Amino acid sequence: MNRFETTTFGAIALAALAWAFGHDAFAQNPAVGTPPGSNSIPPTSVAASADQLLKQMGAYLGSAEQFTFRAGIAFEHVLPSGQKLQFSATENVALQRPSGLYVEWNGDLGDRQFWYDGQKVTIYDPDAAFYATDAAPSAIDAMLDKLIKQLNFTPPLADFLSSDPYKSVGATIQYGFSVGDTEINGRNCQALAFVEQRIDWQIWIDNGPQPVPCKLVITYKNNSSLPQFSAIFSDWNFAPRIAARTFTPDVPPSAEAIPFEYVTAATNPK
Amino acid sequence: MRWLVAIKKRSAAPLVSAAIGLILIATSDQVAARFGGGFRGGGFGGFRGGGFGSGRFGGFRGGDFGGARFGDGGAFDRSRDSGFGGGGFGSIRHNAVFAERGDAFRTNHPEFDGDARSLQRNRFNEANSLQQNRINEINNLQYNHENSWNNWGGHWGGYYAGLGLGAGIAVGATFAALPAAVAALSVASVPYWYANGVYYAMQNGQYVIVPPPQGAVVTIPPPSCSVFYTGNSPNLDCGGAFYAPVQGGYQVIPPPIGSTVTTLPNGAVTDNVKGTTYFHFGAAYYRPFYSGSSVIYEVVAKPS
Repeated sequence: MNRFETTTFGAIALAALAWAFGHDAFAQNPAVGTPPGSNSIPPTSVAASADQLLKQMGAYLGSAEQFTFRAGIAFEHVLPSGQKLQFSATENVALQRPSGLYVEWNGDLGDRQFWYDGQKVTIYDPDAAFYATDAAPSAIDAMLDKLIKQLNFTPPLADFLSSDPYKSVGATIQYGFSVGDTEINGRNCQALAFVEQRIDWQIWIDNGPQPVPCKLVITYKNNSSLPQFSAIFSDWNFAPRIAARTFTPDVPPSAEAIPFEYVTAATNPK
Repeated sequence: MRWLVAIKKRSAAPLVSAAIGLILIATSDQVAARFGGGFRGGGFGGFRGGGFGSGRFGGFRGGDFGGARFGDGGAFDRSRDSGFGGGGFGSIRHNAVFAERGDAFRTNHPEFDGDARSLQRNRFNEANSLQQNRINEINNLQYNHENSWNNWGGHWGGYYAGLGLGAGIAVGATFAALPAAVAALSVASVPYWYANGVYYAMQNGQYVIVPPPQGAVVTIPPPSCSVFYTGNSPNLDCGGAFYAPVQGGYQVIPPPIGSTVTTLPNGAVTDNVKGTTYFHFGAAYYRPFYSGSSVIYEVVAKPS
């Protein structure tokens, strides 16, 4: 055999060995290989290195006093015909523990500004010239909970703002593994892939001294067009100079306050 | 990596088996470390400033989708959903919230099931034949559709689009010929034609898509409507056009009190009653609320 054929065979053989060997790196899990569509939820099975990296990222973000970052976002809406359209946006986030958050969203389908100052949350749509404000708990985690439960929204990427991002993103993982490393915006980042019941998601985490997210992709599996939400992170700054008034709502005088519509059973789409 | 050099000199076929080998290696956690640098462009190379394009589409307004219900079920109409996390979109932690609402929506709308190709086959048969007859290009439509239907004073919409076509063919599109299976009707002595939720009128020798005329009665309601109760009466909410069951079929009615829309009819007038802003158009009064992260307008009784 010439050199190439030997090596190709070697590659396949190595792969076969690696596959057999690699299984040991996962938690023992007889339910892996549960036939798709079966009713039982298989126990979780996450590769050790993937789990470790998620924890490191979570600890780093969750313990930070404050940080700012920017994300370039692509998100998809599915038309009734099944056609999928992708739109883009930029999100800028400023977080200051224990009780300051500002999120600014500028996108194809509109802009939003969101403020939290420890007492209230405020959202503003500049095109509509309306804003809404509501009392909020004094801690960021509780405030984020209230947002989704009562007000039916959550600033995208809020998973990374909680005091325990590992728990926020990892609570319903079923299967996870590390894919490899690659370069994103000049940083070497480790690609992890996770499977859950309703979504698959991938996260790229910086392999350097700051284990921050580089990129995130969520695939929604409950729609046959498989819409995605993607974010590429940049400009992480853990020693920013955030002016105090950043977290004070700043709407134009002409904007008018309107109420939030609270989530009830009736707001489920019919 | 001498064997990579050897591959370059070979034909494509061996590359396939090598690629399969690489994929098998990649799934193993133990060997993943060797895979470093195997793929590039994870940052969508060549972009700048976020890369996906953070500016607005030129001239684009979400309302051009005109009330069409988006099939991903993230709360009612998503044509105005800026993407800012409504319903838990963009959150790993809250994906169940977002997914469950999508599931609930799809349970009530089995017409959205099936993959895009089969859905589109059903919807685009007509659209394809229409496209052969279209006069305006779709790009011009999106920017210029107001020219035609603004003249149809007193009609609802601005937010109504050709839901039955699902192709984004908007109010104001003009055609030389009607689709094959239209029903002719008349409202206030004005002739219209109706198929699949889309209404056509004659204007300047062409057929133009118009908002649903108030009072029109059709036998087959538009596709993809939701049932909406006013008291005990079931009405249909068809992406911004509302119907009540009547003898002979379904009649276009003004949006019932309690219904919500994501865009106001073109020409809605602003009122301020005791410090609260309302809008009105025809007999309907609207009050703005934030639902999720977007403004919606709820039809309310006339404020006193």
